[in-house]
Amino acid sequence: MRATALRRSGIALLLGVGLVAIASAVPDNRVLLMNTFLAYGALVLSLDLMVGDLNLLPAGHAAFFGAGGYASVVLNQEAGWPLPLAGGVAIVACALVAAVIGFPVVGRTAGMSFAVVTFAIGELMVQIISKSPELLGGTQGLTVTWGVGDEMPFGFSIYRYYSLWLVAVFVMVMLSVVWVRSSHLGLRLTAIRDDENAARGLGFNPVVYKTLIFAIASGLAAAVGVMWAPMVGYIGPDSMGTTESIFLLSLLIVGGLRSVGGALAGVLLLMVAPLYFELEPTVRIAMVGGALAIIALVEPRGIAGLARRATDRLPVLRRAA
Amino acid sequence: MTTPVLELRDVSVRIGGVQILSDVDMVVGEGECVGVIGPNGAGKTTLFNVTSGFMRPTTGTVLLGGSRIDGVRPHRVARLGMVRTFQNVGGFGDLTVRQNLVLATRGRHEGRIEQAGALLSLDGSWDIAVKDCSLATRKLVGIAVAIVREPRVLLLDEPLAGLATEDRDHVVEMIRRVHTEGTTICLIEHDIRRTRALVDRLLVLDAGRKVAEGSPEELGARNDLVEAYLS
Amino acid sequence: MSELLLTLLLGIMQAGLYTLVGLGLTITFGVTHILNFAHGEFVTIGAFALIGFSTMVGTAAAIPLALLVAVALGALVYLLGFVFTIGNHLQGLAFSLGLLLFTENIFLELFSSIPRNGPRVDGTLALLGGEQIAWSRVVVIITTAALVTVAAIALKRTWVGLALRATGDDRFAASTLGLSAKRVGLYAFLVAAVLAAVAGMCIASVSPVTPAIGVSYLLTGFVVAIIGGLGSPEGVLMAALLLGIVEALTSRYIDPSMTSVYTYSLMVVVLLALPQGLFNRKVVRAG
Repeated sequence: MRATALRRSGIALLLGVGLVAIASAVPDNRVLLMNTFLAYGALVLSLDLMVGDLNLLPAGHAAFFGAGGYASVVLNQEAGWPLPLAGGVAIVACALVAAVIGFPVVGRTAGMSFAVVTFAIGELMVQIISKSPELLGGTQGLTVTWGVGDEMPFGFSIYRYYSLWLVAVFVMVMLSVVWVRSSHLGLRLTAIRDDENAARGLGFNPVVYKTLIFAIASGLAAAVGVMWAPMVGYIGPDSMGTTESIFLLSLLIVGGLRSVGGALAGVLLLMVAPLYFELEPTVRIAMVGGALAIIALVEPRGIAGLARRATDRLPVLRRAA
Repeated sequence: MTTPVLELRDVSVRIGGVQILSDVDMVVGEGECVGVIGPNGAGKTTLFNVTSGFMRPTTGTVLLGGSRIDGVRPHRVARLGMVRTFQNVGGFGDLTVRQNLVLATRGRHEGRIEQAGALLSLDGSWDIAVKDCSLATRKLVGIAVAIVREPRVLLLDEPLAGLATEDRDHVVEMIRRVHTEGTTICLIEHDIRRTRALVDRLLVLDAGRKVAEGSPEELGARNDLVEAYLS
Repeated sequence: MSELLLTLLLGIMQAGLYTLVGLGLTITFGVTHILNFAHGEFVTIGAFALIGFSTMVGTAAAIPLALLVAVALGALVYLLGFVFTIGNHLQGLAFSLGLLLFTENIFLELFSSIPRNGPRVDGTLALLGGEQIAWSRVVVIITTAALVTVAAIALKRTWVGLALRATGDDRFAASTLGLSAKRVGLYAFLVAAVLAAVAGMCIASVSPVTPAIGVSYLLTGFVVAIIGGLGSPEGVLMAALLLGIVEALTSRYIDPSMTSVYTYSLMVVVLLALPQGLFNRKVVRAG
């Protein structure tokens, strides 16, 4: 088990190195596309820890992404904390908030109440932000002043500089997913997903594990927000609403649960490709919706399931495996 | 009787207006194998739920090794050494046989896993996902998952339910092996004939009350019991 | 006094709309175990069909036409989609999420996000004490109250209502009575579509609407369905009344701009204290 974990971490790190190389080489007009892939990839993978590994259904993942961004920007601009400290505190605070909210709700058998509480928390955050124009910029959002006119390290543009940070977050999420899935924790999560009572009967308290994963996933989403906000120079409440959270869920389900490759394929196909072809947002989201509706009927395991079917059909590949 | 490990004293359970268990006493001694039998609705599963912490008795106490465990939550009861299997399940379907055992030992005690696999003849199917195993194998995986935790008491909830005749004999043989290795066992079963052959002591429940208790031979000599419950 | 009366009436109006939307969610969930995220789109369809048809053929003819459109679309999404997902929670959920994103954005393309007004009943009604309430709001209150009453009686007395409740209680037992879960599921979707479309028409006749109306009522619909305990029609009514009146009172007496903050806080508190909802009858699983 440790061997698998190490091998997969190695792959994740190699991928990270590759991404750094790509990030410093992509043409200027494509850097934002690259950053979108990294951020959404990281968000969807962290979401999968809850949905795929535990059958938890959060309807407020984007809220923690936004909360991370807001917290770090406010701590940096209003309280004057250095950016790394502000970001770190934002991430830890979001994870703790998730744990505090999650603990009473997550363990009840009515899993839908988890969806609704996360939804309510998300909407509450959006409302609080919209109603605090002085501190949080209200519905207009906050402009990030950090880095404006400054020289970035390595002579990079601000977008390209933040690509590196987003690669770091992406790799961190990949490593978290790898370690959760190929460790004893992964076995426990699978057991809880399979049969909560039987897992209790072995001495594992499902509430503790669900709270833990909710906290980790929310912390990771916050980490993406911390890097995203200064990159685009702006953060607003529209990026953290329920629709955005549902959109993330859609990307994940189209890609396929519990499959890193599938999830990333979903992001590439439904998020990055439409941006590349410069489709209008409404058309793009309608397309994601259509894809999700169709794939839900045809292959509920998503792109990963389609890929598995295709390889099963090819006798050569099967013999090789 | 040997030193008692598990003791239920005057346990009653009442849900809504229904009395499910009334003043049941049960003692399981170190190294014993006790069978609980009785018709459907007698309260057997409730008895197990109370014993393993999934239900709280309305009145009465449950003691494990002398300390009270009634009202303690199930995962804590499990950590105190009481491990149970569930009626229709054996092991976790999405995990392989070996992963199930690794899960149960919390990643330690590699030796115990090998031992349990050998004891229950599971070593041929280590890397098969449990959901792809036969029902008999699943039941054995369920038992293996329990014994690698070296329980002070092993509670088996209908280990033979749903099995074909030849599989039943095999599973009974495996439970006997586990018992011979020194594990204290308490089991619920509907297959009276095989239970009588397997256990040291029988406890008969009906309508929430204990109606008889004794060795299979003693109870087998009482015609009233044989007619009502033991055939 | 009169001000309080007006506030309560407005709260009851909102409560009626929430009940109509929440009832559909709860009935479809009870029967098919599908949590339909696309349910709010029937509200949008009702609202925009009414607005569209009333400019073409007049309000009187527009109402049945709009209902017909909603019923047809309800049957369509059920027969082409949801019926295949019965028995697989995640599949049904994924299909409805897809449908939600698809239809919402198609409607945005078709109708743009500029607010539109539906037909209005002119004039106001003077309440005791001098406050005025618009007749169109009174009509909405009467319509929703009547429809909720009809729905409540229909659920108890008619064959379809009994079929819906029996299947919701125990699918296997219901199938032994010759009730096919798939057939009853169709009834559930049709009833839900009609109730939501009526809600949509009511909304369009009292306030300006955009295609986002569906999602916002979907969310409140979920709130009342879940606080009420999924699968319980009485729970929906109680939760909707609670929510509508709290909303109206806070916006009148505390701070109108903070209404949504209070309602969402209330919801979080209720759910943290009673995660099963106020009137839960059955255990619900995620996914």
